[in-house]
Amino acid sequence: MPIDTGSPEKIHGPLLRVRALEKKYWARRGAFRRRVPLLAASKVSFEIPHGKTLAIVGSSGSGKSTVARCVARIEKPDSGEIWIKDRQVAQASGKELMSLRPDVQLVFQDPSTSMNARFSAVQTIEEPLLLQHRGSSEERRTRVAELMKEVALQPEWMDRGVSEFSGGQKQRIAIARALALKPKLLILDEAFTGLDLSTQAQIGNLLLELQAAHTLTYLLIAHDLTLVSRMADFIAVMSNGEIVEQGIAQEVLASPVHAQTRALISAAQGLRSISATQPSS
Amino acid sequence: MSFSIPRGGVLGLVGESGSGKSVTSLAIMRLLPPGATVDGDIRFEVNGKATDLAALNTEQMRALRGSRISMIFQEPMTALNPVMRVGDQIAEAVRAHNDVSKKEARNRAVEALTEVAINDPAQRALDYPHQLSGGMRQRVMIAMAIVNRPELLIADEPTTALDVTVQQQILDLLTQLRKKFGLAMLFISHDLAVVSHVADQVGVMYAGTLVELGSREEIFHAPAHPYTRGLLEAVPTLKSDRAQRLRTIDGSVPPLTALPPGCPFDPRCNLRVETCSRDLPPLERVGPSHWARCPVVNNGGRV
Ligand SMILES: Nc1ncnc2c1ncn2[C@@H]1O[C@H](COP(=O)(O)OP(=O)(O)OP(=O)(O)O)[C@@H](O)[C@H]1O
Ligand code: SF4
Ligand SMILES: [Mg+2]
Repeated sequence: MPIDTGSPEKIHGPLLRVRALEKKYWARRGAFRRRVPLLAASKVSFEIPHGKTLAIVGSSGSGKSTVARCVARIEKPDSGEIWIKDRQVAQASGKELMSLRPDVQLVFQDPSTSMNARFSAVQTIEEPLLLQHRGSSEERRTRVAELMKEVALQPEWMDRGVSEFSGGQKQRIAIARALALKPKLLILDEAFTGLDLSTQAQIGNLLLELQAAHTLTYLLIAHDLTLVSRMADFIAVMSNGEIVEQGIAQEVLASPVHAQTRALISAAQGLRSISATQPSS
Repeated sequence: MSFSIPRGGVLGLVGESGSGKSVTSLAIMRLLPPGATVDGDIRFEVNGKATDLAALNTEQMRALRGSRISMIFQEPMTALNPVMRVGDQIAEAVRAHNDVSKKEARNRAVEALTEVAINDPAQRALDYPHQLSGGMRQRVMIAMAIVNRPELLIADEPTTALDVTVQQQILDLLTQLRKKFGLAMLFISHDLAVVSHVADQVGVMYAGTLVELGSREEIFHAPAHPYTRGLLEAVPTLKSDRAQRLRTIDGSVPPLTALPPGCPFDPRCNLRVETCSRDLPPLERVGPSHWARCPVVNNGGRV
């Protein structure tokens, strides 16, 4: 079934614009354990049009999660600009940061680490509503039931503990929670990694449907190009903290320029091919 | 049903999460019943209950993790000590099973980090787990598992969290170790494509039951069970095509506590017939070393 991913709303300009983002961490290096700066993200610039999807791909340690955390403003970048529509939020703090939260939500790889195992589904999903002081307890339950239907979970399950749900169902709960405040931008950091392939595809289809229904803008973070290639309008490739190639998804895949892009493509092709006869290596 | 993994052999165990393929699940107990023999001399016993997941992860894992049998889990943070330098953790594993000096243990730790393709291993050995990216942490855990040159390696989704370029390196590394040291491996993964790169023999688990078992060639050239076929179709391919939905197996694995009476795959199977919901089909031979638990495909001719 084809999915219409076209944007019903006419909003011009990008929803997210990142300019020259830089973030360094301090690491101890060398015989004298000197503190040396480690540029986890440097000169990172990209934008995502409203209702579209950009996938940041790259190998481990290339800085993808650093960018995700900075854009979500879980961390403060050292320098650079982050524009959500017409608000520059790179250095926002306090109240301003609180008011940004509803617009930008982050979904992590392993839902169980970002969830309180003792919480029920309803407690988990309503958490952002509580933090933003939205609605009465009744209203929140109604909203949670709505959200669970949206992610294809039975609302009757809302009082079950999150630990009773399977990995894929937990990720649906995480997505429902992320949607609770009707965000504009959803950042999915390896949201598929660790799930079964068929579950990954189910979550992928769900995200495509939600995007079409709500004109969501996605920043997808992944090391494996395979699945994101099926979901992204644009692809940016990171290596050593920098974006080394970016463009329209089809074009990047069809004619990769940078060696890192080629490596990711050939790794994805190699790993995703079934090798029925010849032993590996 | 019993089988062994020969020295240097790799049994790949495939299934979705909840299918019971994990080491900590009932499934493995069935596959490797207490006292099951692997290569004639390594006795591998797990006496825990299916629900005893936490116990196996900590105590039993520690008891099992040693010089001869070693395990790699999917989640590196459960196996790594957050307040200890990673090099020291590997060195500690070396010294727990070998009478060597601290210096020698550290050297072996750095060597192991080199083997799992960590850049600048001597420096990285001095890092704490939180200073490493997710992928690097997993490689540290693999380094720790192979540093004592085990005979049987139980790898539970060892590459799932790794980036694809490193996955290939790790799979190659495991293959090398297997050849070099006759390392036998139980390789557990939800990813049939990955398993096809390492295993000589493949078992497919569904809802706590082995539904198909065969050689790599048999499973990938002539998959018999509808579930195996579904898993094969769900392997995504690299292309940019936003108009198409992704191929998936609808529904999810039923919880082991609420299994349907007959074939466990019945609720999701598009080949089901009326009799499927009656009894659990037996494993029947469908090829020289190929077994499947589906009378419908077994009788109706295979595709
Ligand atoms: N809190 C931190 N302190 C010190 N260094 C850090 C910290 N977080 C990340 N780093 C370093 O920053 C670099 C980028 O890490 P990041 O987690 O962004 O990579 P990634 O692309 O998300 O990798 P992965 O695919 O493994 O998740 C790495 O070298 C990492 O070790
Ligand atoms: S026994 Fe029936 S339900 Fe089970 S896999 Fe075969 S056809 Fe499908
Ligand atoms: Mg990351």
